[in-house]
Amino acid sequence: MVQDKTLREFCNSRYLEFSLAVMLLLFILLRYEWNTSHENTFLPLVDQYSRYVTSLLLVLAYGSAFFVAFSEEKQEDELVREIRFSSVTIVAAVLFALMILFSLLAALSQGFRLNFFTDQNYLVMHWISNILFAFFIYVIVFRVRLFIIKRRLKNEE
Amino acid sequence: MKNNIRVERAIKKITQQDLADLCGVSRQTINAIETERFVPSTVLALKIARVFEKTVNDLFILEDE
Repeated sequence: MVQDKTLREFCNSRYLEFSLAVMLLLFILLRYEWNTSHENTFLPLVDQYSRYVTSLLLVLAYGSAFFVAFSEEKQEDELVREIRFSSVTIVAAVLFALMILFSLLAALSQGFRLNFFTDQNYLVMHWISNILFAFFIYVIVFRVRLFIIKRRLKNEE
Repeated sequence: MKNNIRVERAIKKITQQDLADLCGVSRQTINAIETERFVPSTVLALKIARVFEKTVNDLFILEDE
């Protein structure tokens, strides 16, 4: 019981959240580097094991993203839950809208052979469809909305 | 949905923090309810009503009524 409480406190601590966020950012940078470089000059030693390392990093990244996104607040009441759920809805709606927009642009570009849809656009599409990106955007939206509410409360007595 | 929580709080002379502690929520939640930015769940509405010894209907009023 005591161990459970300590574990929960550790999981809810800012330190864990921060370290996981840093890990997530590092992974995103690492993956971007691997995706964009023609010759893999980044971490050449790991290159031959890259498939395993990537798999491991993926598990770590998705796990940490889950922790960062859904770790409880100090006082997790129904207002925070409401903000959480509405943030998920906002992020889902925005990402779906962006996906539809990009898909339409891609279809127009290929269908009419206008070729204005570049490889970079496809890369953006790839990122939008990535659940890691959704987690990341969700964390930002949720934190910003929570910050606004706390800030507003500070001004009201 | 309108509510009389601020008035009832003033009558009872308790702060938002006191009410939040009595209901087991944060001060932000009480503030959001008072300023009509957030509609509480049935459970929380009943808890607030119990603190003020009133019915939920006395505290919360539908706008079209």
